[in-house]
Amino acid sequence: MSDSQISSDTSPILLEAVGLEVHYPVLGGLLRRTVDQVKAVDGVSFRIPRGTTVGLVGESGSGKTTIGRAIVRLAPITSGTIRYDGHDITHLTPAEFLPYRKKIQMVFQDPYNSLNPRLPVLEIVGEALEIHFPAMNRNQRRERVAELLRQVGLKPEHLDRYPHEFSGGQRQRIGIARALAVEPELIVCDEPVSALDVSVQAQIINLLQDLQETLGLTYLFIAHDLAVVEHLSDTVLVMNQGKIVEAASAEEIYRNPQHDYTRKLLAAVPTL
Amino acid sequence: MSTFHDLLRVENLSIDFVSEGRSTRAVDQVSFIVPACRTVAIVGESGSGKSVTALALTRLLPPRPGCVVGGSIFFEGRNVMAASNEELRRLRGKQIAYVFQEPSTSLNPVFPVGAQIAEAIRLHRPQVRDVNEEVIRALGQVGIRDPEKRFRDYPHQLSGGMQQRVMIAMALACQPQILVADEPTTALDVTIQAQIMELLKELKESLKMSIVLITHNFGIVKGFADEVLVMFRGKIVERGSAAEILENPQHPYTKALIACVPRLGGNTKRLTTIDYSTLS
Repeated sequence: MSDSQISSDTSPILLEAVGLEVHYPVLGGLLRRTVDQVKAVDGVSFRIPRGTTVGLVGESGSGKTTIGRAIVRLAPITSGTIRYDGHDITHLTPAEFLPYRKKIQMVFQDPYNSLNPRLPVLEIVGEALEIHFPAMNRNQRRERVAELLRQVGLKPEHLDRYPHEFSGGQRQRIGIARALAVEPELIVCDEPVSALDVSVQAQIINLLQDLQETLGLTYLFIAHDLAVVEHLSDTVLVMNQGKIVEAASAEEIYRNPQHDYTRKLLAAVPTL
Repeated sequence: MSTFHDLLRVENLSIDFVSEGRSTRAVDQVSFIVPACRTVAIVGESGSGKSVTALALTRLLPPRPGCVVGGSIFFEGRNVMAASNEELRRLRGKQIAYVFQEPSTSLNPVFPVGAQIAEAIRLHRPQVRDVNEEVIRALGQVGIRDPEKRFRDYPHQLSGGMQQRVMIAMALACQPQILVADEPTTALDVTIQAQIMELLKELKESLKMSIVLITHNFGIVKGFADEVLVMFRGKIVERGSAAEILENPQHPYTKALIACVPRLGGNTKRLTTIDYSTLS
């Protein structure tokens, strides 16, 4: 159901995927020939209007993370098109893609493995500044990182500390500060709260919402928990086995789910 | 009926971690009872002391001087704190078994899952003659299809939900009286979480065992636990029946912990967070 898009009359489309496919070869036999393919993402189309949050929900193995990774070029695109702000970015060379790396950032699931344990926060957050803002000198970089830390609810004195000195929630804040450093427009959040306590999860979700309001960010929010996705998203895409099986407003998904798989996800959410 | 209706009794349990001459109190004067065939949930955030409390039940914490445990723990009237190594071996696995958070790191990657369950059975139930048959029965019991085939699978060939089922099968293979489930679904998808919690509930009924559920998520407590203990900074700040606590929480920390669970269709613009400055 690739045509089931929610038309957004108010905001221009920031990112559009058309017929996106990511297939991985399965090698077998003596000569390691391709004997089969895993269709991780199998013909997916969607749009992300500027300034909104699109939630992408599905179970492990549904292909939702691969979509996020394909957008930031961490997964190879087999076919289909990704357009950013009207420009086809599917087949750009790494050099041509560089300006888009500044515009599209990613926040990862595991705050323990996604931060380099040997670097202090200043380096983790400031690294990208060296590439995308080469004119900045050392002091300006330090100043900017301190400001970013304040923005995500950490303190400037945390600058010289290492990841192991922080809790899971604080680490995720560092991950968010790193994504914000290059002033992106779109952030792909891949299960950013799944590894956190529910109480910390609530803090991070509120932080993401505050940042969206003040900075006008656009989010692709990937998660397996429909309660979290529904809370945060304007539009929800439900994924199963590489395909989007339902796409609707967050309200519609909850009030009036159309697909059996969506109902299954709804039923799995604990009720209090 | 056993005369030990209160299967496990914990009295004034305190746990201190000592490092570089400094002592940190992780658990402070905690007392509770686990009755036979009941489920007790210990709910709290990371660092509240709930997991070390669970480990202390069978003296799995590191020895002195790194870790100092005070208070008493009685299993069927016998003092666990004074137990010999021989008694502890029987207690661990045979009487109190554990299921931990991360099934992928709890299983040995280089042995088939069947062999790992078989090891536990040989150790704790030497009277079992056909161990393989017993393993297959245990795998079937936790809802694994084709247990004869899965028997030979290595952990990496199974999904996270299947791995957790194997962990439960291993824990139950020794027919424990208490199953301690320490965040058993935190590493899993919500759909798999629902299945595992349902499975634990069924097994508790059919095997007539007690469960100690350790969790940070009040969402999975409802419909599962009989009694709830809320832990905050090493202390039990509230206790009661699950229904009581969910319907009418008294302590501000309990209220906040319940409120921060995201709800479907909850139209609130912002999620509730815990204001630690108001909690003493």
